Amino acid sequence: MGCVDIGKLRAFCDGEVASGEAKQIETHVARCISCREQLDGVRKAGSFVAAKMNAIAPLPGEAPPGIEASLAAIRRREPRLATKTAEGNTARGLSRWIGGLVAGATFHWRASVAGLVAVAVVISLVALPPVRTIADDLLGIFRVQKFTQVTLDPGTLKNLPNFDPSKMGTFDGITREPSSSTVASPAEAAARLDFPLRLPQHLPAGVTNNPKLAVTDSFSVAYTFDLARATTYMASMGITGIDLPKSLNGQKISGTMPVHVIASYGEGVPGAAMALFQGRSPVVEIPDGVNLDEVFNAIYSLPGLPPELVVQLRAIDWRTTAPVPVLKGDTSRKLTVDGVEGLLVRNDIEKVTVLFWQKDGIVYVMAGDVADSDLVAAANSLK
Amino acid sequence: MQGENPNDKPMVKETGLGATLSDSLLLEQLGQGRSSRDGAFEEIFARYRHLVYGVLFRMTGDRDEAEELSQEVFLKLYTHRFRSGESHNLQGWLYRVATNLGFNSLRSRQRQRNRLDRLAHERPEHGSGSDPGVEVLRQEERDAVRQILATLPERQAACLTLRQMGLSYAEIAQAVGVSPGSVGTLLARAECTFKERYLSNDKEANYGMR
Repeated sequence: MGCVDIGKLRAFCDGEVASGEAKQIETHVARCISCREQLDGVRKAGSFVAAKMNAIAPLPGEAPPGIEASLAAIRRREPRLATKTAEGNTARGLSRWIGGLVAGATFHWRASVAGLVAVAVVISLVALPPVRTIADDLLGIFRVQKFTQVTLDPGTLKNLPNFDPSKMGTFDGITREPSSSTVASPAEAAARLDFPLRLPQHLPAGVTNNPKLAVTDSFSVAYTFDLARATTYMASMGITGIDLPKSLNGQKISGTMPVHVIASYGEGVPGAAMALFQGRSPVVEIPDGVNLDEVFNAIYSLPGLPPELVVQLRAIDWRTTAPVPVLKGDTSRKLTVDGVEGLLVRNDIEKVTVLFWQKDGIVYVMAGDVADSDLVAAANSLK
Repeated sequence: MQGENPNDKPMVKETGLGATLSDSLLLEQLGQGRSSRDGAFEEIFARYRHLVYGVLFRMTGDRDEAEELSQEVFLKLYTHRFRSGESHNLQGWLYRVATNLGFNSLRSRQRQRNRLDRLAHERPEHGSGSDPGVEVLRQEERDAVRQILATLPERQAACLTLRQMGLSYAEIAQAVGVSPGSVGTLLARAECTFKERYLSNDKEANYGMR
């Protein structure tokens, strides 16, 4: 092989050349000083620019507005787009929700990360548009050991103000989006995980056994609450009568989403699509001295929160339990899956079923637009 | 339809499984009667709005503007008529329109900045973080990055932005309209120029302050 052009070297750095060619490049570079120097230059420029470019990625407080608000704005600009019924919205919401959850939050990760933060968990949990945001967090505070359902009528959340956690504190520790990449084989995925990869041995009829595997590396974020700014912000939103959590002032809460993998089967095939998320539980660390009761009481006293939701949220042990929203029209039940207790949620309009469970420290979420029993059978066949 | 051409395979990042309809099917519906068109539009919007907004926020650095331009992208999609039989790549199309609008805004913002610079020595915008020093530095760095992006050829700026978002070369190639083999070259050139300009700006800034 002759000298390697700069574009090839750049692709080589990103693992974007075929493996045979990569070997040839390696061999050549080992022998050729000028190519070695050029490769070094390409690498250095690449990492220099990557670091700078990371600075312009949106931070958690810089996410777009809620989807319904955006759609409403588009409808105003394009009157030909009809206004949808509330029911339609709910159904689509669930589909997005499940998708977001199962897709591992590659693009929702900021919302998920915000959700890692104690305050933001519940705020985003009830923020509009309800369904999607809530579900973005398959996270609890501390560590997820089990799932519990929270029954929700999205219509009752309309009066809730849209809070922006970045106005009440500072996010830091994020410089980039977590990198999610598709890997070629289960072995390759397994090599990047710190737990054994398990895949279903029996798939529902019609689902092809050719999973697309996407691994997302661990990432974390920290949030520091600022009492003075929160007070000003609440006042600017016209909200009074909330005892903001003083013990949280200046405390840094950090959240970590460990490495996880999503296997998707039959993507885009109606009636035969399935996906499985698996990863260690997200972890939230809260410093000693923070009075969590105070934090939660402040959240629960936010205006616009329906009392029946507050009752359900109060009953949750946040240290171990992640809430799963169950919408009007959904059915849900507890069941035994993979040898442990799990939660099943079914939406008949979308014909989608989602299963949640935790086993040996690994959180599993499996979803499919297949029959409940088929999905459970697939979950029971994980190996 | 799907499977014949690997480029047709949608990279469904936002909805994963929830997306029971493929992009090409949605595009087909978008070209049909009103009710299925509107449903398809909203599904596409839900699927891709974060991607589109992500591009535009990076390029504009302004939430409101990024949101408004995102709406613009989807409005264009609504009225765009894909030729029938054309092998569409929805994601690539959306990225292309988004980077194009983003780059125009980046450029015009830069022109505005240059005018302002002539009038008065501009102060960096203060962020609202608890440590104003850190916020100012972060804002300065962000401004500097965007300033340099605006000076690059549009394709190169688009490549850098999309690469930062974690797109593969194949995806970048579709969005930018080049062959996957040329992405490495575009990136390498862009990075080389970017680094040079960034370092020389830094030098000038330090020199000017002392």
